[in-house]
Amino acid sequence: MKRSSGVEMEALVGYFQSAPLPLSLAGAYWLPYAALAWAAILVRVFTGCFRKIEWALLAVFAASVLIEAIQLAVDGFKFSGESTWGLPRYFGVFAPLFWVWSAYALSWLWSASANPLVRNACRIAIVAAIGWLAVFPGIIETAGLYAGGARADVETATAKIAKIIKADYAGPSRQSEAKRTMKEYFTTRRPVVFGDFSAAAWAVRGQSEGAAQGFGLCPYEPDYVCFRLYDGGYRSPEERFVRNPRRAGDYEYLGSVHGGEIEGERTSWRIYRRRATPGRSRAPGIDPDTGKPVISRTKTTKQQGAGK
Amino acid sequence: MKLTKIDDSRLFWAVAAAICVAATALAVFHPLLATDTACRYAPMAEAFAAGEWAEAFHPRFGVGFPVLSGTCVFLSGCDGYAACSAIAALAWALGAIPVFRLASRVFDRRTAWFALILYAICPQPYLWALKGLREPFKLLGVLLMADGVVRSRDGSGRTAVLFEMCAGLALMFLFKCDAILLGGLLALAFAFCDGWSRRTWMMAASGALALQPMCFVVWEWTGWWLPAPHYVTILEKVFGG
Repeated sequence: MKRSSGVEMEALVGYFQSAPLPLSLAGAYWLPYAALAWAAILVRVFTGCFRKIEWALLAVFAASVLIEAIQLAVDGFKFSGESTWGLPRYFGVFAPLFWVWSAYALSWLWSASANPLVRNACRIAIVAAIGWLAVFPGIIETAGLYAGGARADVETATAKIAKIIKADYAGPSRQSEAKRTMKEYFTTRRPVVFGDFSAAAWAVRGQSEGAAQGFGLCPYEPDYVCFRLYDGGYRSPEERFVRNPRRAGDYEYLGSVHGGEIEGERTSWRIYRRRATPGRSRAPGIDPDTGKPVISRTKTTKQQGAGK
Repeated sequence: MKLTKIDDSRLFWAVAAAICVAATALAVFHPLLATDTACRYAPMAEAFAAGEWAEAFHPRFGVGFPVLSGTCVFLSGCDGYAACSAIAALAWALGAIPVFRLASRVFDRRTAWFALILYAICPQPYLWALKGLREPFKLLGVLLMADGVVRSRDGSGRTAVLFEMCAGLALMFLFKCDAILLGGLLALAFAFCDGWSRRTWMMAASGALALQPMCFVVWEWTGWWLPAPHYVTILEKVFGG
């Protein structure tokens, strides 16, 4: 049975983050509030009630969104730009200016009717809606992230991974030379731990691949690579370093040392360590005829059991 | 119940204080893991607390957050992640004050209470804070400056407005590079609404001062005395550097 967790909310946020910009913006402004705000603004404008002070506030809101959009446009609407990124939270910070009209709509509904029956019905609806919004997305979903979601999985796994890496790593605590890049922040801390979630590096106080994972920005070679189960398999080093097949052979699976896969709350993890003598010309996992990496997806004992 | 008839100022400050305490406490003890914080802000905070200046700052990520979270690490001994989450949660909670005041000024007290409730229960900004991201600072900066611009129109609370604008401008200039342009624009809007009075020039002076730490970091990396690295890219394109 599928375990209920905060992943649904993460998936929803991820959807908005990967959606085209207009949809992304709709997500950023928190739809239940935005719908109320638009209704209030339109009614007030068309009934001639929209005052100068409201125009001033709306102008501040519109200018804020416009400035952010212009900076994104200057960068060619790329996800990762020079000045700003195409993330909804970059626009979502302006939303509370907009919510003033959402609040006005609720305030108007609170005493909209002179009829006590209608008025009380409106008030009950408002209290119920606020209560639902507060409890469902605000408390239950947030608590779900703590209780059994991806956060719990990562925390459990990274605590175990950190213990293994700390016991295994015998190299220096700092890089011999600091390499700086303008695109991303990196420290000289070692070990350098790449992987599916940077918390693994944080847990050992090392250096991760960087917040912009997958962009190949980290100037340092990883000492360890940690992967979690996904889509029925692991990302093997061969797949991870697909652009540089020779590097794949520089890493060895640490399972024989620490006793197999590392169990998180929901997924299993694997650690690969850089070999003491790297630079093998024909690494395991490389097709000897083509020289290209062989992508392997190994099923875990957990999955094999689940299929029966 | 007629909320407008009640003198609710004390109640408001009590609620705002409760939000600040509750949000900060939850963030300290239960921060949410986020890649940006694990890779950047938490290591920066610990580097600042350890006096490793070269690793405490990066031109793309502002100087305000490492200074505040690093000071928190240094004073409390907590780890960098908890410090980032706590400081961000405090910034989010403080945002409730300008939201209330703004709604109160534009509409009425009852609308202000609804705005406060909507702000407090919306999970998105609070999750940014729990994750220790910089968005709550930009959020607080925008709210303070928007309130300042609206207040400048009626000429009320001259010193308070000046303080509000200076604080907002510092937040915009020191925490996120993409907020610098917006901070400048809102300051300009304030100047027009305020009729270029003495407090406008005081705000401009404090804003210029707030830009200098970022200029120093960018200069140390690129050799240009500019507040953000993307301005360097633009200038290099213009002058073919």
